[in-house]
Amino acid sequence: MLKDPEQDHLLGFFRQRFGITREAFADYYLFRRKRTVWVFTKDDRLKDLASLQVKSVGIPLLRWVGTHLKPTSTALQLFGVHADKNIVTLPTDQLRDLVEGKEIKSEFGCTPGYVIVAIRSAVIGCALYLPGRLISQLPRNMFTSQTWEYVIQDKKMGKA
Amino acid sequence: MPNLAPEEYFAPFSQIIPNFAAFCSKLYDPLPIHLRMNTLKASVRETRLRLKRQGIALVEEKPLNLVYRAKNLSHPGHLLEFSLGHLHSQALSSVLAAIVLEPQPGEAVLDLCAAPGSKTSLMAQLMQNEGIIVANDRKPDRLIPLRANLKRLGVTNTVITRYPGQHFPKRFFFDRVLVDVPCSAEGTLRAGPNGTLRQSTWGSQKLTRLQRDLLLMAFDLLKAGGTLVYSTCTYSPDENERVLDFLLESRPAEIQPIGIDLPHSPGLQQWNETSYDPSIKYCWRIYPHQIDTVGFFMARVVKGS
Ligand SMILES: C[S@@+](CC[C@H](N)C(=O)[O-])C[C@H]1O[C@@H](n2cnc3c(N)ncnc32)[C@H](O)[C@@H]1O
Repeated sequence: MLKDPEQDHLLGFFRQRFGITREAFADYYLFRRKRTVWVFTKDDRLKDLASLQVKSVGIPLLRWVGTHLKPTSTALQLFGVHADKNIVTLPTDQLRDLVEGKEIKSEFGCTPGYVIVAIRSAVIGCALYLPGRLISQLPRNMFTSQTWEYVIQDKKMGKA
Repeated sequence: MPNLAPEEYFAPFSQIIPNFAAFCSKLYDPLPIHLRMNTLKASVRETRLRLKRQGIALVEEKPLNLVYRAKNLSHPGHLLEFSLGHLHSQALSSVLAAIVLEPQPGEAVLDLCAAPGSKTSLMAQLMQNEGIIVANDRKPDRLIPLRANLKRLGVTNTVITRYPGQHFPKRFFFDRVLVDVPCSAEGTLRAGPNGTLRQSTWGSQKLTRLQRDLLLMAFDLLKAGGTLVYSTCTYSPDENERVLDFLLESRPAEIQPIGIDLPHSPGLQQWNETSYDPSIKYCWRIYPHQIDTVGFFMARVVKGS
């Protein structure tokens, strides 16, 4: 489990970068293993499980990339609803381009760094914003090529 | 071995499967696609609406308000909502096993044979991600899809272990245990385009011994008063009623009735000259002509306090 200064640093990152306050993480423990930090539901009995050979605990929250912190798309899907800045909402055809590896060239009103990518109705995950450029950080295998056929159908109905 | 038509394949069970002709005829239909809505990440209403807009026709499976049959969808894995973990593709019978266990928020729950985590993730959903689940599976390569599913579905209350379930350490005791054992799995079979079933092997003695050992360990890992569910996707009495009967002979276990209003058949009282404990009638056998899903067996067992 993380010691207070490191935990404060990580939670400070979420607050500063995305406006996600400490309260959003109040019901969770954070653990670090190598360069990945994991999040797990707070429960006193977890320490009793230390006698088992545990292979993994909870889900990945963020990773250290060099000296930067990079949130996982999984974490942003869970905690991103509490964010109020550095969020880029894309129409679905641009999301598709992003996922397919194309950079989206635009100013999004964000500061450079990792951002939350969303479509109108859901948080999708993580991208990197550099001045005028948005670059996908979503897991490559997150979608299949057919995913977009359904999404386009949704768009035709004028709602996506 | 040649592939066989359902009538020949299941001939050994023709006496125990009610309305055998209807059963066989159902096996010529493809397995339906069931979608379980994952309320850890999105509301049922929201997900239903999004699917509807994509032209996907959903039929609610009552009385379970989180499972829908998708009538015109062949590959749920292509849906954006699948990638985002707003839903999971899961057979109705698999959903039932987790619901029958009734895990509660805040409890300690063990899933002894957990991969790829369809039932683990539903249990986390029923527990609202509160409490603790230990998801165990002995096969290292099966831990990869287990981990991926838990991540995609936003499960934060689960730790993963990799013990042979029959040797799980007795150091921590659980309110509930799910023991969804490896089995012959012919409940998943439906006839292919040529009208035959792909031959699989029937449960060996080694498999039935493993099933007994897993069930005994699951029982021993329960707290007094705790509940377990034993489940398989086979029709073989040797892998079902006989395993439960062995538990009743060896431990202070009580089989409880299952209080859900869905068609099923009771556990058998007898097979191949052997009679079973009368309470085995409370087990459920699910056949595809009763509920159109994977054929299934489950028992809800309580540990005397
Ligand atoms: C029927 S599947 C479980 C399906 C899972 N409960 C779900 O709903 O996604 C049986 C699992 O038991 C695992 N298994 C086989 N032998 C085992 C053992 N001795 N101990 C624990 N798990 C075992 C297999 O690797 C397989 O993943």
